[in-house]
Amino acid sequence: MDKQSGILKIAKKIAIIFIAILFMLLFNKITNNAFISQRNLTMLLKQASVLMILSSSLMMLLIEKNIDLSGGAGVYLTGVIVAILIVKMGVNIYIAIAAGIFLGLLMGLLNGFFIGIVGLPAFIVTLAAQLIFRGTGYVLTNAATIGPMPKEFAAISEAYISPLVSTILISIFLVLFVSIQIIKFRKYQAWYGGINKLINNIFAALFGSAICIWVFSGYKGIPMCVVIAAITVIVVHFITTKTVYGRHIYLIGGNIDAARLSGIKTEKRIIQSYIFEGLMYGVAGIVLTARLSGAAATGGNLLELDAVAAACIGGTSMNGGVGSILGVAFGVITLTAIDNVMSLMNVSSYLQMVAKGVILLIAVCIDMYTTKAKFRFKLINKK
Amino acid sequence: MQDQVVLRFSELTKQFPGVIAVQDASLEIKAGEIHSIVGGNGAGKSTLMKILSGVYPYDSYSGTIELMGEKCQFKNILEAQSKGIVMIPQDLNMANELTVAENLFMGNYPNKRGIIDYYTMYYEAQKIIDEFDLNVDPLTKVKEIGIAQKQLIIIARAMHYDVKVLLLDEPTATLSDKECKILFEKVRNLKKKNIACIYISHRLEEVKEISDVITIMRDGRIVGTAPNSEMDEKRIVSLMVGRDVDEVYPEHDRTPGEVILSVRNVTIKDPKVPTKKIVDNVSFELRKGEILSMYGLVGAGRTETILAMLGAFKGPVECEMELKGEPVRIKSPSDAVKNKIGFLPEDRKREGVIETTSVSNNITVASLEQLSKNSIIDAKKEHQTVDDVIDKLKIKTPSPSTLVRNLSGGNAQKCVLGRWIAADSEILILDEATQGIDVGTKTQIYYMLDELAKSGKSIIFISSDLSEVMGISDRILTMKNGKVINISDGKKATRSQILWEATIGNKEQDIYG
Repeated sequence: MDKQSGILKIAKKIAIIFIAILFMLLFNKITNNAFISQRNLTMLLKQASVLMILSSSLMMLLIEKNIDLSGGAGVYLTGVIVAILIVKMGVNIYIAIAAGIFLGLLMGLLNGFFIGIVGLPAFIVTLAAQLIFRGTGYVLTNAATIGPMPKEFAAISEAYISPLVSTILISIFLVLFVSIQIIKFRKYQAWYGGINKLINNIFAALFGSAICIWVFSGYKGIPMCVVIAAITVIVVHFITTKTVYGRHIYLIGGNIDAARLSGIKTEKRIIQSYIFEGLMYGVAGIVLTARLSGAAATGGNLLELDAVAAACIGGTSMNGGVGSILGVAFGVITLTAIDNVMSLMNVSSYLQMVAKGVILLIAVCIDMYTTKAKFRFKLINKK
Repeated sequence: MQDQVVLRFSELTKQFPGVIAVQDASLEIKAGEIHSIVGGNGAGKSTLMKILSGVYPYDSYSGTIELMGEKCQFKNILEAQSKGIVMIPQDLNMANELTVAENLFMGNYPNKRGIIDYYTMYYEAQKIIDEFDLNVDPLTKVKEIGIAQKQLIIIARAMHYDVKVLLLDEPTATLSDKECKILFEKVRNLKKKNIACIYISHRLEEVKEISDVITIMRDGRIVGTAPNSEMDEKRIVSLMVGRDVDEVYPEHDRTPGEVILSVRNVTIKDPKVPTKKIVDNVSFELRKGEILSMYGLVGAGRTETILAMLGAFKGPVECEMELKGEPVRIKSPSDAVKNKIGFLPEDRKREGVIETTSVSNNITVASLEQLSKNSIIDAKKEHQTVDDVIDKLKIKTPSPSTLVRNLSGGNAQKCVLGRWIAADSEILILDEATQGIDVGTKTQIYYMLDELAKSGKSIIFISSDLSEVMGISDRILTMKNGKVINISDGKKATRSQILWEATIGNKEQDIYG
């Protein structure tokens, strides 16, 4: 029985990969072979990076059964402050970056204070924060674009690691990953989840790195903003799977009363989550400003809702307690790929919004259907 | 008329993929009869009720249902209700912010072209309330009345339909003894209207008290049916468990050690009525290696006392505590956990288990600090602990990473208990730990507690089940109206004495001799 379900799982994964490839080919076809080019895929990843950074911290809030509507505004305000400091006041880049991060943390603390300590609903607090942050940005800039940013600053997002170094880095990463998996497999045995999972993980890693090497060696290499997004993903993955804090947010989201009675300091954890979210405002704001070489009034517009959509597509539960960063990364790339394809097809950005909404609905429906089906399936198998 | 069969079902079988929940169940229910169905958790009682009440549509099971000799195939609950089979569910679905009258008529408000005729509604509601002797104002909001009254309102609401069979699923689980009495009286009154009741309960005393006929289910099958007079508690339990149970409670010869915890002057004022005290000057001591039971009726203030001790009561409290002779201040449950005090709450689903996550994560919730270094969880240590606890408590789970929501109630409860064993708590406070758990698992829990006490842990055991209080305690503390009535030796105390103290509120007991 175990073997069978293992094979079924692998079959399901192969099916998903197959469908993904089919979609890629379809995208490629309708964009006249513009989609699957190394240049376009690099651009796609660059485009996805800011969303990825914000989504990864938002995911942790959603797991905790909280929400944040002030993400886009927080990113924008950070960008504005950094841009003003550098362009208008001529402050040293590093100091400006530090100021941006500090501001992000402050914004997170503000949200965290009202939600964690005062105990107001997260929806309302972050809605108010959204207005405050964005409004402050407009007041400071008169809604004008501040820029251009100096080259050294833009390099935070726009520089590339050369293709050769990229290839070497990815290979090192692959080797590291595989050896850690093998060590874990030996150490934890039954807890690891069987040899199938090991093979599965190694294959996934091989497949992923092959694609990465192909993409990055064919164009200019790995863009810096993608590096930052990747680091964020790894850090959040580590936090959610390995740390006490990460475990606590799952438990709080699953059942806050039970968590509190089991000795978890829920208020403290909630504030910490919002501070982490604030840190990500800082990082995402700096990356965005570097990418656009300035802080535009539309910067980060609706980013918070894209982040919710991406998390949702990636299987994060809106009822708390469930979610994984790999899923969210998948959601972010899906959303961005759709944007990208439609831009290549010259679809108007208004229609793109409609399409994104439809896709969000479909994704959530499919997710709900398959989790239900999976449950049924599992039980049938048992018999 | 009395002996007419209203409901007959034969060879009902309901399969869930992987489990047969009900197998070949056949039974006849007569008009005006109170027919109890008892069985452990997972025996198939609830599934059977759901089949009868139309929760599961007719094509999802096999077998036939005949109501008044007519074959029935219900597509949904509404159809079953309109034919006269009405279920009173375990969790009461009422709109708490609406009034009693509005709840009574929910679904068919008296109206004139869509505009509610409030006058008729209140008038009719008052009539129903009088008929059921409910003693509430139809204009009261439902959130302000007690659970027993809510239940009666739901039963009254069911009378809108031409009820032939009323299904009651664990109606007394959350009621006090007095409230139960009221409920039973109403249920007996239904007899006069020739309404048959199918009554599901875990509490055998109740079943004995109220039933005409008792049916026992085990593993999805009906294993015995007999008139009440031919069934005694021993036979019921042995049918339920499938073997003769003599030793439900461990034979204990523990010798409690020195005082480990002393609690003084716990007082909580009622936030609504400042002159009233929910808990009034409660003091007691807990010894090392002792099981101290707290017995009392619902509303006696036991849970509130404990919540005050743990810093978990929402509102101002007065409480002094000494732990091992040193005064401690516990401001929140996390302080309690730090002081090695573990708490298993009354409402398992709402406050106990974390259903979205795995067995493993549920077990280590309270011990993550001990299992981690620099806030990073040591996976190997964690796995070790979880394996140990699963093994020790005999938690039946396919794997440690199985989600808790896929376990039975008893096993989920063991995960919560395991949480404190993993955390190595010195003092364990259990609030209605065996509520809604099957007999077999209960026994396992009793033996587990005995073992814990022997190994030097101290246990405060809150329970409304007199038998288990009598069975496992070293000392029994009785409470009524927020006051401690008496603390007596568990081996010398008698059932009647304890019950007397909890219901009457003084130490005299000569009424029973």
